[in-house]
Amino acid sequence: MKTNNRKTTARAVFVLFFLFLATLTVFGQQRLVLGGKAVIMVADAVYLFPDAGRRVIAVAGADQGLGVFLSSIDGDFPKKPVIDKSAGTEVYASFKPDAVIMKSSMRKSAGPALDALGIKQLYLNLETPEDYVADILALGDFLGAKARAQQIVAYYDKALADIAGTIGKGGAGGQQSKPRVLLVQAASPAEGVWEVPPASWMQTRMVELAGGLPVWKGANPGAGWAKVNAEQIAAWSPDVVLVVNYRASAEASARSFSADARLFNVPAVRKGRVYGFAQDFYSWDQPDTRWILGLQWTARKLYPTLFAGYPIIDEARSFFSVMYGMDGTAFNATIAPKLSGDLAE
Amino acid sequence: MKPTLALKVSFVAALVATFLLYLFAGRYPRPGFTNPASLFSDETARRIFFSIRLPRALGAILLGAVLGGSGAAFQTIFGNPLVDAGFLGVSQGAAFGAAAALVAGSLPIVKAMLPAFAINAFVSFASFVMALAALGASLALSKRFKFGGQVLRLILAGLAVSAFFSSLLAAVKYVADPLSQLPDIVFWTMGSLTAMGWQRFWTIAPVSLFSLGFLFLMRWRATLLSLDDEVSRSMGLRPEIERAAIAVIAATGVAAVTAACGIVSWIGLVVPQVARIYAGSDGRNSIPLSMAGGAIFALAADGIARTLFPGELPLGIVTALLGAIAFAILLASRSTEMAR
Amino acid sequence: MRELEARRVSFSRQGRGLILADISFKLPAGKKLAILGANGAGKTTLLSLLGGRLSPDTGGVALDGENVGTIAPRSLARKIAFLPQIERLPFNYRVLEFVLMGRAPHIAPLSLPGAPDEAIARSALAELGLAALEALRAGEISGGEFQLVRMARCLAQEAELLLLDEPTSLLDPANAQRVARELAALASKGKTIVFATHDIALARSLADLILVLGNHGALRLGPPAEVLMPDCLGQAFGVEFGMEKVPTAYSGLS
Repeated sequence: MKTNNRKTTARAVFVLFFLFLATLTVFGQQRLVLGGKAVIMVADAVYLFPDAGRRVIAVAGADQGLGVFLSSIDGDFPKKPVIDKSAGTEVYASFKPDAVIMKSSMRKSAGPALDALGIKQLYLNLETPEDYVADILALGDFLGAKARAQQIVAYYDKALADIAGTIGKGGAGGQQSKPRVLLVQAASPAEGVWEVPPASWMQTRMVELAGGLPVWKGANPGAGWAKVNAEQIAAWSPDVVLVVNYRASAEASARSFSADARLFNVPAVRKGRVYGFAQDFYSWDQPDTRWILGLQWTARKLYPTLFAGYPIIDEARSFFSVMYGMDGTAFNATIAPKLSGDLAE
Repeated sequence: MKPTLALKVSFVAALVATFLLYLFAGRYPRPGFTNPASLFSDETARRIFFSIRLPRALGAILLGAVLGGSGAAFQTIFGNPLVDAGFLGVSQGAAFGAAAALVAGSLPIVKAMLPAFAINAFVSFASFVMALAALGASLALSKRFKFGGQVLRLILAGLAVSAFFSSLLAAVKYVADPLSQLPDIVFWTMGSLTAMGWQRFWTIAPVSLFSLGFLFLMRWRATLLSLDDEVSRSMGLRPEIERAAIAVIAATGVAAVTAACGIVSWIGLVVPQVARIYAGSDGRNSIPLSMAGGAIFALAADGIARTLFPGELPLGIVTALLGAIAFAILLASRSTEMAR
Repeated sequence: MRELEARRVSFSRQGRGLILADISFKLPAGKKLAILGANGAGKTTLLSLLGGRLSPDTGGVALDGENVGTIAPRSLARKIAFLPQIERLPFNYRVLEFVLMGRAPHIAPLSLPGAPDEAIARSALAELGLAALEALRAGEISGGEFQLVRMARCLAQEAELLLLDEPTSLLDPANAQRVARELAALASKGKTIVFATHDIALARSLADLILVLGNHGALRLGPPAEVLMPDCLGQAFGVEFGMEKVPTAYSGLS
């Protein structure tokens, strides 16, 4: 009996200890503030983890003009106080957070002051697919939800593998058969002025991973969007054109592109392969958790026959179900109305 | 004077040559010079030629002529070789107007009132209005000063108004969204002909041509205004009125091209110096040659800006680089037309 | 032109009180009037009043019976040429370009000088013996030559009346003599000349009539022999004057 008692006691202590630790982690990361610039990506990433809604106590202003997505996941979200994007350290401190989560670009400006106040910080890169894997695992450690993190990473990895596999099987692996792709943002369509992203950005990686040749690589010396005119686009002669617009209708911009008299001979225009980039609340081309949807959509535009029978809408449903716990009804009510861009197969 | 005739002919010839080089240089189908024969065989080349390069060339000519001519006119009527085309607050006012419009254009109220395609017109309009407001403020402010002649008062007022709008611009940049608005503002303040098509060209043409025409006709009168006011009054002029008239019309031309193309610096400052070195300070020659020289400079700079890389360089960067180098070379090698 | 008349001209400036009081004279064409006085006596002010640049408080200035205050600036500039004491040279204009500017009163605002204007400018230079300087830059000639070039510009205006403020004050005797000789020659060709100066020798040799200004107005008006007396000059300049025979560069002018 004594041995049994000892074993039971030991087990009890063990369990209690773990409970204690678990409580520690729960209490330890209870109060989170999401701040700084480009907070949308951070918030969308944090909300991949359940209970995030309870822990997040304040978020910096999130307005990219297309409606706030998180309100539909977390009913309490609109009630959370909004911090100014360039708020100082005292504002963050006034919420008495246990930790502040921001994009890594904020480290230099916000880090030292937060360190001085003893507030923990977690910085996320969230710029490339590799970043996402690393950052989500880091978030998992930070929030005490490693298993969930691994589930998410597995989802991304599987999607990537599926795409690579489908393209490889279709024999579209070699350089010659890769379609020449141009991705532009509409700067001033009426005057034939478009912008291309830098080579390091998600958009470029997305096109490459989808089995395309990004023609604009090397065109942009800067760290932001660079202007190109119709002449250069005609010279690039792309087979497929993806048109992004963060402020207005991407399909309308795509129609403007096709209607430009100077671009009539561009292969993409002649074959009707100019597409407005898909989006729901946010455009899928951005380094948001949705990047995988952007990649899947792009692959379908570049290789429609290979992906026939696997409509993008199914991928979207799956994504929002796994990532944000949305069932079919929630998806139809929240996401479906916000879908735009050239989604048709 | 015989040398002047040869000089005028060579400037005109240089303008024509630069114009033709510009039209046949670009990035289609390959970076470099386009074969003229392709205009007959390639429909895309034809369309690019007539709807991108041609209006842009004409726009560059207008831009350069207005900036060069106005710069020369200002330097002449103020008797000061270091005065720039936009110094009466015009450049800074235009920059502030455009920046404010770019930021305001993303506000829901404004977006609801303006259709998507009108945002550029809105920016240009706001820019033009603020440029004229700055000009008016400089003139009004100069009348309140109680010391010095009109020239000194205008220069000081112009400095004050420029500084004021410059700080307003800084404030707008501070509140602008760093991802979407700030790059647009920065690009605008560096000047560019990227969006110069037929529509924009016809918008700036009337005001620019009027300004150029007036300055051309007044080119000798402007020279008279470079003398002391006492002297020019004794020759029957009304220096304060005539100087103000020339300044306003020149500045309005500058406001128009700046509203359409952003701030393109150095043309108004350097080209008149060059013109004066070759043709003397008499406005009869220096003002028209500054117009031609400005057009040549703008064409050359924009040719580089749109051909060197696939992405467009802001024109203002190229003119500043070339202008600063040219300025230094000129000052070091020849005696400039400056009084002792 | 037949006659310049000043009738009971008075002028006061804010903060400085009465400068000129009750000045009257008549100057026929072809004659030379010197306005003599100390610095600050009002010589420049009087010249400005005569040229229609300032309006007198009382009285008036008439050119051939017409009040100069009522004549439009461009017409006035064709009748009267005013040369200030000093002027700034903003750019290194060529001498001919510089003289050509004097043709302004004859050229409409939006027009340019033509060949006839250039010919007049050339002959103005020639008249003053400056033809050789035509192609040089104004910044490269001597101070005396520059003063003469300025006078050539006045000549190009083809005005009958010349008003000159201290034409020789900044010049050495050689250049001053040259200027004085040219002024005398111009008068003999029919131009009327009024010049302000504090150079008594110049006034004595060149002027037909001298107006001596004291603190508030004319002390005396008359031919040199009458006016240039120690007591009158002593009052005007506030120092004692004696009579002596001295060498002069201006002999044999009138």
